Amino acid sequence: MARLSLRHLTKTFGAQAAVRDVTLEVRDGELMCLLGPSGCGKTTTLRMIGGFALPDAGDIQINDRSVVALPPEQRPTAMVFQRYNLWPHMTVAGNIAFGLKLRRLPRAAIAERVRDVLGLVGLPGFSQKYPHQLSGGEQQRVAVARALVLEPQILLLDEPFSNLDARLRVHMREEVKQLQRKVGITTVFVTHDQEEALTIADRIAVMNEGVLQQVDTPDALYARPQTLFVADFIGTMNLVSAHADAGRALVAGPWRLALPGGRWPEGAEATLAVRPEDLVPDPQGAPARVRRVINLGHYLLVLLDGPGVPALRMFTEKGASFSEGQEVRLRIARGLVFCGPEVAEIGGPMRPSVAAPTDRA
Amino acid sequence: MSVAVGAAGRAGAPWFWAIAGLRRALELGAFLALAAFILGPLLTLLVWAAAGTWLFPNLLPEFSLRWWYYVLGNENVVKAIRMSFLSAPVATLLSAVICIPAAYAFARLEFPGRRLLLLSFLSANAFPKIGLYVSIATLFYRLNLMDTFAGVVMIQLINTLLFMIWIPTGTFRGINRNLEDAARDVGAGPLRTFFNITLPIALPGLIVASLFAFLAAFDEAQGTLIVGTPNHMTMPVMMYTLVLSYPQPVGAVFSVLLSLPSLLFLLLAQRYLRAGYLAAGYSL
Amino acid sequence: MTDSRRQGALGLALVLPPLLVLIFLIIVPAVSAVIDTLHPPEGAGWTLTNYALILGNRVLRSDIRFSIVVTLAAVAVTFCLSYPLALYLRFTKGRLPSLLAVLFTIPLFVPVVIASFAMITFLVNHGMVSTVLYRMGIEWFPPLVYNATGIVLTEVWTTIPFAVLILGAGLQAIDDALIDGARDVGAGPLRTFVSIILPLNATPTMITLTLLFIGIFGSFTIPYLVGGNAPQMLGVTMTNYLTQYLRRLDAVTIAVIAFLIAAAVGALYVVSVSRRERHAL
Repeated sequence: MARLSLRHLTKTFGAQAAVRDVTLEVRDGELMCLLGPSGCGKTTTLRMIGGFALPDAGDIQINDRSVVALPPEQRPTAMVFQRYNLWPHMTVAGNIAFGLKLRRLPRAAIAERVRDVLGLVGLPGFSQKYPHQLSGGEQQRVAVARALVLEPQILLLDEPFSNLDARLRVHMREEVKQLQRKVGITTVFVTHDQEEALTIADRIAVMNEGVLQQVDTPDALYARPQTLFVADFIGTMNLVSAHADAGRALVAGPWRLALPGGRWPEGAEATLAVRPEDLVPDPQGAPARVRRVINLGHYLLVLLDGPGVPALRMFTEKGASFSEGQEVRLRIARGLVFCGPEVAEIGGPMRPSVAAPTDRA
Repeated sequence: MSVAVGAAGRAGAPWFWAIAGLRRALELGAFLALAAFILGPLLTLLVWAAAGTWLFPNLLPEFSLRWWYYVLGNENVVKAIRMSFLSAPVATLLSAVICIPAAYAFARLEFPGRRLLLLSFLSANAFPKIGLYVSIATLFYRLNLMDTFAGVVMIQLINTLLFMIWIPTGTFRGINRNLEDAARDVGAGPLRTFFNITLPIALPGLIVASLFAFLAAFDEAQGTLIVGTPNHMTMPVMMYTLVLSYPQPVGAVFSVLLSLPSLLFLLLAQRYLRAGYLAAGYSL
Repeated sequence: MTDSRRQGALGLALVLPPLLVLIFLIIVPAVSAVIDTLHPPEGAGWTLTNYALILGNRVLRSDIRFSIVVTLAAVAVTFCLSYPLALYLRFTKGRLPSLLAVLFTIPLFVPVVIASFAMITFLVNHGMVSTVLYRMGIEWFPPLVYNATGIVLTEVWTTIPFAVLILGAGLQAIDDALIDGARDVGAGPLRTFVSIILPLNATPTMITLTLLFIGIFGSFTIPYLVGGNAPQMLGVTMTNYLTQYLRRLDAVTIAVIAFLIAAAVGALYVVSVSRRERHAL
C-alpha cells in the first residue's frame, strides 16, 4: 500500500528550469503515466522520485513520509531504465539476487524468490543465462523482475520499451499492465508515446517544458483537454484560429458558432479545437473541398481544405462515399475553444467516436 | 560501402591503374616492400639469435646456441633480468594504486580543473622525454636518488602515468551510468557499487591499461640509463652495452629475452580485448 | 556540504596522488632545472650566459641544426608513407588490407632498443640487405647506418604505426556518405582526396605531424645506437654532457633549448588549430 506525493518539485539545470513546481498525487495501486515530448521534464521528475537527482525545491513523500533526503539505496522505490539495466558480468539469477543478497536473505529463500519472480515475468528457466544472450524484450523483463523481487513500494519505469521494435513494444506494455494489476503496485511510467499512455495508464500527467499541463484519466484527457497543448498532443485535433466578433459569436474559418454565455470581448483571439470525428457532413454547414480520402481499415480519414482552413481532417464510417475534389458542407458537432487560460465547450455531448484513437482493451 | 576501386571508370586516375592485373601487381609489390621493411630487421635479428658465427656473404649463419649459454651465464645479465622483473611490477602496481581511483574521479565526478588536469597528464608526455630525464637527474643528484632502486622505479612510474590514467578513464566512462544507478537502486551504497559492479565491468580495460603500463615500465631505457647506472641496470639498459660492445649474437639473444614479456602480454591483451560478453557493458 | 561540493572535494582528493607525482617528478624538476640555467647556483643573479655559451658553441649549433634537419626528414618520410597506407586501409577491403593492418602495428610492440639493434643488423654493410644484394650481383652498398640515414630509417620504422593509427582514426571519422557524395557529383579520386578528405582530416594530420616532430626531435636511443659520432642529435648531446662530461648545467641548458624548439612546434599546432576553429565559426 503506497501513495506517492510530489509537492512543488523544481529542478533547474544551469539557467534552464527542467521541472517547474510540479505537484502530483499518485494513488495506491495506480499506474500513473508521465507523458510529454522530449525535454518536458518527465524523466527528470522520475529520477528525482528514484533519488538519482536532487530537487532544488519541493518535497517527495511516500505514504506521508518525506524521502527527499534519502539516497537511492534507502528509498522504497525500484527503477527500470530505458537501457543498460542488467549487469553484464552476472547471470540473470545473479542480477535478480544481488539486491536480496544485500539484505542478507538466506540462500534458499533467495533462490526461491528468484524462481518465483522469473515465473511471474514469463521467463522460467532463464536464471543461468547472461544478459548478452537475451533479446531486448527479455532483458527488460528481467529488469522488471529484478525491480519487483525487492517488493518496493513504488515501481518506476523510464520509457522501458522505447528501444524495442513496435510490435514487441505493444506486447510488452500489455504484459506490464497485467503484471501491475496483478501485483497491485503503485507505478509511475514515463513515456513520450501518447498511444502507449492512453492504453495502459489509470491516469496520465501531461507535461510540457517542465510544467504539469493536466492530470486526468485517458478518457477525460481526450474528451476534455484543459490546455491547447494537451488538446493538440493527445489524439488528432483540428486547430482553427478564431476570434470573437461583435455579435458575441465565434468566427473560426468558415464557421460562425454561438459562444455559450458569450463571455469574450470583441476581437479576442482564440483557437478552436475540433476532433476529426466531430466534423459532420451537413447541408447547412460551411463549404470545404475534399483533398484526399485515406482508407484506414475500419474507418476513413478524409483530408479537406476549407476557405482559410487548409488541412482539415475528418474521420467517418468506412462505407461513406467521398471522392477527391468533391465539394462538401461540414458542421461542427462539438469543439473546444481555447482563449488564453480559458476553455469553453461548443456543441453537444461528445459523439461516440467512429475512429477509436487507439484500440483500448 | 566503399570507394573500393573498380577497374575502369575512375576519372583522373593514371592509365596503369585501370588495368586490373597491373594494379594487383602494384598492390602486391607495395605490400611486399612494406613487409620486407617492417619484418626484415626483426627476422634478421631472430636469425642472429640462433647464430654461432655468421660470415659475409653467407645468407644464413652456422647455427648454434652457444651464445645463449654465454648470455644466461653472464652475471651482469642475470642481475639486469632480476632488476627488470623487480622494478617494473613495482612501478606498475604503484601506478595502478595511484591512478585508478583518480581515473574513476576523472570519469565520474565533477570537480574544478578536471579537464585541465586530464590534459596536463597528456601534455607531460608531449615534451622531449630525454630533456625531462636530464632535469630529473639533476634533482636526483641533489636528493641522493641516483643509482637507487627507488630512483629507477620513479622513472618507470612516470612512463606508466599516461596509460594508467587515460585508458582507465575511458574505460570507466564507457560504463553506462544506468548500471551503477541500478545497483544503488537495489540498495548498494556507493562503495559497494564500485567494487561489485563498476570494477568487475571495468576489469578488462584496467588489465589492458596495466599491460601497456607494464611494458612501458619494462621497456624504459633512456631515463633508467641515466639514473640506474651502474648498479641498478635493467634489461633495456643492458642492451645498450651489449649492442655497442659485444658480438652481434649476444645482442640478438638478449633482444629475444627482452621481447618475451611483450609477446606474452600481446597474447593476453588480445584475449581481454576480445571479451565480447563484457563489451556489452560499454555504451559506445 | 551540498552534493556537488562533496563530489568536488572527493574528486580532487582522488586525483591528488597522481597529481603529486606529476608535480614532484615532472614539473618541479623541469622548472627547477630551468631556473638553475637562468640563475646558476654558484653564480650571481639572473643571467642568460649559459644559453649564450651553448648557442655560441659551433659544435652545439651544428648539433641543433642536425637535429632539426633529421627530424624534419624523418617526419616527412613517415608522413608520406603513412598517409597512403592509412587511405588504403580505409578504403579497401580484402585479405591484403587485413594483413597490412596487422603488419603495420608490429613496430608498436617492439622496444626501441631492440628496434634500433634490429635495423643495424639489417642495414649495416655486410648485414642482411647488403648480403642479399651482393648475392644478386650488386656489390656496391651505401652506408646506411651510423649516420643520419640510419637515424631517419629507424625513426620511420618505429613511428609508422603511430602515424597510421592517428591518420586512420581521422579518416574513419569521415563518413562514407561524404565521399560518395563527392563521387556522385563527379569528383575523381584525386579531387575527392584534395577537396574532401584532406581538409576534413586536417586536425588529425596536424596532431600527427606535431607529435611526430616532438617525439623524434627528443629521441635518444635511436640516434645513440644508430647515429654517427658527429654531429649528434640533441638527445645524445645532452646525455653525454650529463653522464660523460659531468657538465650538468650545460646538459640542462641544452634540454631547455630542446624544450623550447619542441614547444614552438606545439604552439604552431595550437595556433593553426585555433585559426581553423575560428574559420569554422
